[in-house]
Amino acid sequence: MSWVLVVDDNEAIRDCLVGLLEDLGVGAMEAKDGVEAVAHLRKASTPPMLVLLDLMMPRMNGWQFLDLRSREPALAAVPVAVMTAMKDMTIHQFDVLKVLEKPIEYDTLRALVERAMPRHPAAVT
Amino acid sequence: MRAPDKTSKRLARHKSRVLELLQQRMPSSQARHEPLLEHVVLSLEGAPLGTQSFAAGHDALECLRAVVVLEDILFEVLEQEEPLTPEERSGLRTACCALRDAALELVQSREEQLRGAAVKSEERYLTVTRTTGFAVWDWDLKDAKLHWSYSVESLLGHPIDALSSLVAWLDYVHAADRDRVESGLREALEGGRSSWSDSFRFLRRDGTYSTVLARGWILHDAAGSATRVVGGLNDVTEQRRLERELKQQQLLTQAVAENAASCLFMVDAGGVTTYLNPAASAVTGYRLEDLRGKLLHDVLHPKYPDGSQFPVEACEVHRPKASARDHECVFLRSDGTEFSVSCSVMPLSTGEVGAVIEFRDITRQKAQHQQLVDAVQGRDEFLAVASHELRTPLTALQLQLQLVTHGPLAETLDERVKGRLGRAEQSLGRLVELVNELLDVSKLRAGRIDLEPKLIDGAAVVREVVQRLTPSLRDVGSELALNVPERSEGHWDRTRFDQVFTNLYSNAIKYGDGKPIEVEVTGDDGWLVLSVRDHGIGIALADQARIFERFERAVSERHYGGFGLGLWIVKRIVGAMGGTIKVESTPGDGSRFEVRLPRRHGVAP
Repeated sequence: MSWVLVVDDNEAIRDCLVGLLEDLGVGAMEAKDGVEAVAHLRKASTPPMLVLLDLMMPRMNGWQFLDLRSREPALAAVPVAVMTAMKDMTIHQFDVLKVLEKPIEYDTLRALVERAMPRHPAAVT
Repeated sequence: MRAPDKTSKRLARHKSRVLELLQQRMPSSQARHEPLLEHVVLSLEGAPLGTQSFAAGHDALECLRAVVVLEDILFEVLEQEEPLTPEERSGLRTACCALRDAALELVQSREEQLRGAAVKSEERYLTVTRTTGFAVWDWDLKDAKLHWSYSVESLLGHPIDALSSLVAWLDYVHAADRDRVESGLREALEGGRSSWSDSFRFLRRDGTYSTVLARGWILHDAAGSATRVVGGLNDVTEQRRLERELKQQQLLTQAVAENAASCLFMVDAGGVTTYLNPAASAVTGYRLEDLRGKLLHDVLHPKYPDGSQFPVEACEVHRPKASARDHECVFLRSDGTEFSVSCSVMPLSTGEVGAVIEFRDITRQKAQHQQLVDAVQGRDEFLAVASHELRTPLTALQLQLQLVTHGPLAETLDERVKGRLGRAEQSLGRLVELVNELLDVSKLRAGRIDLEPKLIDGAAVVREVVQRLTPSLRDVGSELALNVPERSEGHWDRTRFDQVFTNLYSNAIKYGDGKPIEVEVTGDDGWLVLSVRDHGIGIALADQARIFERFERAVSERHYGGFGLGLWIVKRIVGAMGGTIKVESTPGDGSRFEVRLPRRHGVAP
């Protein structure tokens, strides 16, 4: 069962993203910061096909989450797409699938999720 | 033959007695009388008489008198010792006569010499007065006659005769000066002084007044009474006028300097302080006494603000020969505190006589400038935060709308609802654009332009943007002529490349007045040249440089929306990419923007 983890401290954003994923027939989990995201990942029986990650969040922010992921082999393989309101060059030191600049277009997101689906060959990258 | 010989021998014997008597009878004479006696002796012995040497030390008249007195003494002394024979008497008288003749001759020749010299000197005076304005006068107090050199005629216009007495002369002295001149002269004469001088106005023959300076030397007789005054007079009108003007100029300069709000220093050619005005004194706390003899540089800033030595050779201020304008530096006050100044150096007569240094305390201006810089920075930070904060709800709003219009829900919508939502999406798109502009401005202001150069195809980006803006193009009804090669690659930041072209192209659509638009991509191995041409309202020449400034727009904001930041952002981005942008425009015939971008810039990966 393929699912997407949505990590954003803003409820309205999470709501939209979950709505979009529902439209596409993809299950979603929500986390409002890095701490919740890590908890979800550790609990899940199968890893998600994609993590949509906001950067600026309380408790554990996006950079801290990426840093932790890179040091935990079980999580390292999970593809992450970063959503940011401000272009930030430092993000490229991490292994990220794509950087989405806010405001994010529906079509861009849909293409990204569709490509991440297991049946899609591009998801391997 | 023995007698004269005998007489001469006797005279030689009585020599000292004779000279003693002669000295007694001529007490005022300073000359040596011995040569006179020796001449008489030689004459008695039949030797030929030389003419000059006997008169050494005498003036001619004194010499003649001495000869007469000597004759009496000789007879007196010799007769007293032993009566002279008639032959001896006659011989002595002959010798004395010869001496008297020689003395007379001397007197005459001296007088002639003097007369010649007087004529010569009068000529000299005339020449001198013609060039320098100088006359000589001689006032004999016994006959009250006042004699003038002829030069007085050319000097004051009066004939010599008109000024031949003191009374006549005083008549021409200006009434306001007359009493003073007269009493001053009288006091000098009666007070036994040796000189007198005064400056006064004197009526010239032509009716105008000259200012003259008169000086006299007073001669006295043996009893100490003044007998004669000899002097000179020169016309100092021009000199006095120049002095007055100079004085006025000095007073004016002084008044300006003393009352000036700006601070002034003066240095000599060597950079040593010679003057400072009250403003400079008030600001620096120095008085001239503190600075005298010191290099101004050593007093004001011997060190840089960081404490390192400030060599005088490197100082802009300490160069009396070179001017400097609005040079900013730091000065020291007398209490050791520092303050910022803006100063100008004005060399006087190319520095030969020094320089004037003018400065203003700009501490307050600097503080105000810093406040302004801080305020602008605060505003930019606010813009950055605000635009950033706005993005999150905008993203949510845009996604929510798009979930309805782009997702499966769209099929359930009635066309009218779809139409309305489409309009809402357009407005939202515009809002997103404006917020993006604000964020760009704040980033560009702070000098933070994040570029991610990658090898991309610029031609493809252009086609993509054209595709994206097709609806807007259709709305205004313009035709597009697109002349873009199949590929045009370079190392550019794709988002920024897109932004630059989007901006220029959407401007062409917005200001193109529905007329044709031409987009062209050309270039060579090193550069890509992107040109966007419209045929709309155009930009006046005066506005063409201005449009690249922030918040500038060449047209009224009533007609066209936006903050007017677009071209400023474009110019900054193009600059950061190592390129250039220029505009050519004719009002009424549209504009052509040309961007040139290097295919590789800086240390692109």
